[in-house]
Amino acid sequence: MPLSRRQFLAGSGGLAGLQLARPLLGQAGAAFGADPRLADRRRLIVIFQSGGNDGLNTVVPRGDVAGAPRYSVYRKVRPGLGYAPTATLPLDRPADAGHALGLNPKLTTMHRMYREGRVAVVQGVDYPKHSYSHFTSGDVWQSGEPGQAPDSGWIGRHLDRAGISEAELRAVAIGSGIPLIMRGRSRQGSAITSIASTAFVDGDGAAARARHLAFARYGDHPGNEPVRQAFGRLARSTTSLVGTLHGVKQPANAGSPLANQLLLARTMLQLDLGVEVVFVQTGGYDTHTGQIARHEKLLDDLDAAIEVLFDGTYRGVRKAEPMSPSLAARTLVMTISEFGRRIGQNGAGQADAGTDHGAAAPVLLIGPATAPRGAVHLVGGIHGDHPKMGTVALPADNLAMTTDVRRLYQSVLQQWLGDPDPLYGKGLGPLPGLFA
Amino acid sequence: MGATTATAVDVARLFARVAFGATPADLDAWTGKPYADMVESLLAGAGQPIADEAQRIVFERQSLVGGEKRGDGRLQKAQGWWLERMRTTAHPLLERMTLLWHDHFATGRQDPFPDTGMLIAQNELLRSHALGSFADMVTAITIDPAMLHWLDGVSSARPLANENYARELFELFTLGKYPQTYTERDIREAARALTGWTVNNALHTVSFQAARHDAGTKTVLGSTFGDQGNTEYETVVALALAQPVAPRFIAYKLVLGLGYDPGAGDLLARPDPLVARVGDTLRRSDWDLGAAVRVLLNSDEFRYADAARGRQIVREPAELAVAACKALNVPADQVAVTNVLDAMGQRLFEPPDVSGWSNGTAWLSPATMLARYHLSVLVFQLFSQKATGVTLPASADIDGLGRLVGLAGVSANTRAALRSYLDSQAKAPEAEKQASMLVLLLTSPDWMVV
Repeated sequence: MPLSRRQFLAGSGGLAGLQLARPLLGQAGAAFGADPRLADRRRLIVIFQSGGNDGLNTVVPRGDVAGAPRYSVYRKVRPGLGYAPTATLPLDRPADAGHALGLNPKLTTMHRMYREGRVAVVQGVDYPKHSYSHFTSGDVWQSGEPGQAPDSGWIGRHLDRAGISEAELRAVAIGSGIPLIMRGRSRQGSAITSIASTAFVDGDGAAARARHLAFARYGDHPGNEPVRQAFGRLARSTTSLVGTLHGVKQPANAGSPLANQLLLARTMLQLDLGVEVVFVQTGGYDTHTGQIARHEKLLDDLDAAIEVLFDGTYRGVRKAEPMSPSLAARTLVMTISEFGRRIGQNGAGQADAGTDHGAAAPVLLIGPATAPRGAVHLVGGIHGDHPKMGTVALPADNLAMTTDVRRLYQSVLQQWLGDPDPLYGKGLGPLPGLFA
Repeated sequence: MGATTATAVDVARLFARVAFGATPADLDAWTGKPYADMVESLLAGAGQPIADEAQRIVFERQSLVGGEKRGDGRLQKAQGWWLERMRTTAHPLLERMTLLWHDHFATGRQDPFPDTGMLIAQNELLRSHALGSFADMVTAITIDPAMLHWLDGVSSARPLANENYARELFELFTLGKYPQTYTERDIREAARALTGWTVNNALHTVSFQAARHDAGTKTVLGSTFGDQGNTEYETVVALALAQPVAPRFIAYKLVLGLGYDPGAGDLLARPDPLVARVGDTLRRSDWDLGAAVRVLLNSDEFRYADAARGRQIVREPAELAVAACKALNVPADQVAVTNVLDAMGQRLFEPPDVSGWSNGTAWLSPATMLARYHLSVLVFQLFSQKATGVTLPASADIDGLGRLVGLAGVSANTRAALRSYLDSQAKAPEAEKQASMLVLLLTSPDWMVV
């Protein structure tokens, strides 16, 4: 009987460091002490809305509140872009009603989940000395280290602290590159575009296997050429990853590229391969022009993809099974973007009107509203303060930070992923009350 | 100063970095010859292939007829055309530089505009300046139809200017952020100065409409000026290029693209020595890119770049595809090739965003490693499907196979991996072993990282 690809790789474990990821995983969790059982590990999906998501048309003012004429300012400076109060979906849980905020009309699934207590809105998230550059600011959101040249990402450093092995599949980006967020100083996450494509094109016949073994041996390239060594090591860990995913079923087409990515993320999390974090990127948010139509299409796409991820339906049409309750109880989704957009619109005409690069914006989190005794759950609802928007006579130009993104990351790392290390200095501890 | 004459290693490395790889004929022609002469030969090129130029014009004109639909294959054909041009050109350095500027001024297909024809026209604009004047290039691209669409110049009118192009003009195209020498106010004022340009999409022409232009007084980078109408964009570009950091930033991009990563340190206070010299050349020569590239390629820092300090380049997908097709004499303008390029993370005329593609090890992930492996298998398949006139050395002739694909030597570890393959497959047919050895060489660290 011919060996399966996985058996083959497992059997060759002693050869030139070519090892299957799975056998290594038993030891991997040990860095975080207590119970390293993979199935119990909480998981995180980070969705990066690339281009700068307009926070003000995502979580929208519906009225003025005492001392803050938010809605009046909003209507004045966004004549072509502003939503009427009745158009948005109210954030109307008892504790939140006083904020007079609503979700973009396209976020219907998230609104339902909000009412179920599964969505948290963290307001005014940004970092000190904000940059309006896509690239500088995107790097800060991924590095979690404002004010310095980015050399690693906040998930990557989590992998460093966990001390993952070369072949360990703990964090995966969906896409062709390994983004900054996944790069640690000594470790890094992986990246795949699909399960089907995580295979050698020449198959796994005997001749091909002989080539793959030789390819994996490039992993022994000496350190006097560190770039070639890095290439070689990736050749080796890639060969190992192909073995790990061999035979795993590719999820069905879920309705849109983003929905497909989230379903792939779910598959990776479900497999109990030890995957803890999945990073997904979706573009098009740089709405300098024609914003209303473009932004609504993007948020509709995002909301439908969230629906597929949790419910298995895409705008009501069955694409996959719902997420299993046990996975849902352990999965947190977080949406981030490099910045929000300017309070006021550019361009005079309705068709052209858009917004230029801005500063603070809300972060949305989706997770379990409740948990069995002793386990952690998300606290749904509005967190933090809304940034000031000035007055009708003197509107503000930009939304200033009310929540430091590092505190948000600290919360997610410590309270959700159980990473025990203090990451930042004084005053940058976890946000109170985001998890319970 | 380095040795006057070029070694085989010099030839292989120079051609791999700036000319899509050395053929055995290149290795023979230049080994033992003056290094500087080899650089001059690459700078001079040997004229343009006329048939190819005709094809380019067809692509450009095609879109004037209109009717392009996303996914109708036109863009993919244009990608293939450029790859094949890179493979067959008698001036490979000019194509390599055009690729570098496409990455620098990264402009992509959008619905409905810029369409493929506009991008092909921009491609020729870049080519015409690629080894000429950087000042002329950045001035021209500021009102290039594809760029006016890509960064919203066409939507920027008084009184609410769109900042998109102004920001990237400073951040990505001329000044950079190391250090940042412009302010948010400079961006807003420059955006006002750049208002008023529109594109005739049917003719690919631009026009200045005074009624859309903000005629007020602006202060950009410390200079105040009144209404200058349709020449105001030239003033903005000239002010940017007059900043001391500008030549250093462009020099940094040249060294990063062709030589090694000089690090993102402060370009004014602590520049890499080669970046400083190339920048001085740009400043003194009034932005002559040919002069700058000459200094770069002849420098010891480039020629003897320290691999132990990570000063090696991860070859980008387009270079790999072209080099592999060139080595085995198979055409690069095939859908299968552009598809693999996509999987490797590089779609020509569709950069991920205006900052262009990644560089260095950021090209590499499991997904792209498998695509790089795929490329080598694909090129070998194309090779074996028809007569190419190329004779493969025997599978045991590692150096001969290496030379065929432009390697002047094979490193000890790569050699050990190749030998392990041969040892394990002693009984396999020779043709299969030759194929495997070639695939493995074309996926080796020696080939990928130069």
